[in-house]
Amino acid sequence: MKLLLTLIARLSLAATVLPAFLHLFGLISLDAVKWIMAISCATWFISAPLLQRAHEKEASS
Amino acid sequence: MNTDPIEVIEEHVSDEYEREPVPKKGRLGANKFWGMYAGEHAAGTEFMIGPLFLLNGVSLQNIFFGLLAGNLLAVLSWRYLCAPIGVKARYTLYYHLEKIAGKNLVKLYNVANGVLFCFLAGAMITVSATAVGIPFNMEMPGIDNLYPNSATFVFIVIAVGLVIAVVASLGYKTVSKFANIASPWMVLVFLACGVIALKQLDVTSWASLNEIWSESVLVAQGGESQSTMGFWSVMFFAWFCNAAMHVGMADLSVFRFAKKASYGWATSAGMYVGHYMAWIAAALMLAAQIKLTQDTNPVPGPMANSVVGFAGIICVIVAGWTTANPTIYRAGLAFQALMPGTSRAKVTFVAGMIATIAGVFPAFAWKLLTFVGLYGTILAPMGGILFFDWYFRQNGDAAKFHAFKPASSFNPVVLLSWIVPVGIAVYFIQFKGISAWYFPLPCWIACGLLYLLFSRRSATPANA
Repeated sequence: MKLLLTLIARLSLAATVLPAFLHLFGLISLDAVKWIMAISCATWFISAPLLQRAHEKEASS
Repeated sequence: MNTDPIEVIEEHVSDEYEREPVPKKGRLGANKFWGMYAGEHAAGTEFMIGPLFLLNGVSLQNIFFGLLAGNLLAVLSWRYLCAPIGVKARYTLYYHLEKIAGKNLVKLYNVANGVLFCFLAGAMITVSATAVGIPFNMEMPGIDNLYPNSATFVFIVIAVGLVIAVVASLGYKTVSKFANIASPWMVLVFLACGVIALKQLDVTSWASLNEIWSESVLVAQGGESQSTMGFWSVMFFAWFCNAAMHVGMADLSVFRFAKKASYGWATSAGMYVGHYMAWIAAALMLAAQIKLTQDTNPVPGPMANSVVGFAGIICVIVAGWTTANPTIYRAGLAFQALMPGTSRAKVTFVAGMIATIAGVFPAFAWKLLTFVGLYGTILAPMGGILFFDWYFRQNGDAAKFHAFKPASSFNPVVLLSWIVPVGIAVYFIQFKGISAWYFPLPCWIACGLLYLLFSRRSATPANA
């Protein structure tokens, strides 16, 4: 579970910044950037707190 | 009591080791400092500062090189002025100052601190409100609006301020945790905003960027390109916008947890991510907005929305909220020191309400450059007193300083050394119109020297 959360969180961060560069080089539209960033915003704010909780649980056990 | 040392440094405020040097077991590794500083300086106000450079007609070269130099000087101030004292004395600023200035004078310093924190938080509430107002079709305040421009704006600021005040008064931990989660994401959103703004500006080279920038300045200044900030202004602003933290020694409270003074270099993460990349990205966002719509209003919510959409709106809200909250919390703590019997929650809520009232006036956000300079001018000189005391009176001897007991609860020498240079500086800022960011350094040096001079004079009769 922790591995999956780590993967989702890292992908979310990558999906926050990479679309902007793809748009800069004309590979995707601005609308696509906005959609990808909105989705990655949601996945980051769901996965990161769960990951933090998992880390805390691990540290306290 | 907060027992997690990581949270202790991230919060900057804690009752742990508040009145004793941090012992070896409480000291933290370098990575905690790098993470904390990188996150702390990607705040809601960064959305305002970059665009204000453009509106002040700063040239692109002066922004790039002025910020490079100013941020370097800020990092050096943390590394060589603040951190060495922090790792030797290992006290909070307040307890350190209490030993020099006395308990009651520290209360006065706390009031100044608390009031300035409230106004700073007010600007952050304004920033958040510009994003919250987008779905409500709120008429955005313009750069000329020093007073609220619509009832909707007032209503949204009050609503945002109330939420922030209630959350801050309930406690700090949750917001602190949320801020830690949000900070890496926010930094990347800032970067994305800058990259997309570059695309919107249709830049192909440095020369074309320079040309578009100059055109944006021309539009922003109504056809007359007049720079009110040159290289030195940008450099001094970048150096002293956090003057209270480095030369003002507020971050002694952070570095007391550091194993080595070299951890002071960690502040470069905050300076070059938040005060370099984020400011430039925000400035480019305004330039793109001017190019696309001819709208010169540096309102963060709509600017971020037009560049990255929903994620931008969330970023503005979160950036404003996560920085307004600890600021209000610290203001509450500062006020509570005056009335120890009062509940912290109530005092923090009142501080939040003061910040909300300030937030209703967009002037605090528009005049952020001046306000931040004034903030440094008033608070940082106390750090000069502390610095000169440490090296010239305590000889940098921590054991001697720990054993040292304040002569009185109100040291008039410190008060005089503080208010004389600061009073003169405030006069020049308010009545002569000299930019506030030029004053923290001379005031800091003058306060320290006056303190040494007055201390020697007041000690002479006793020694004779």
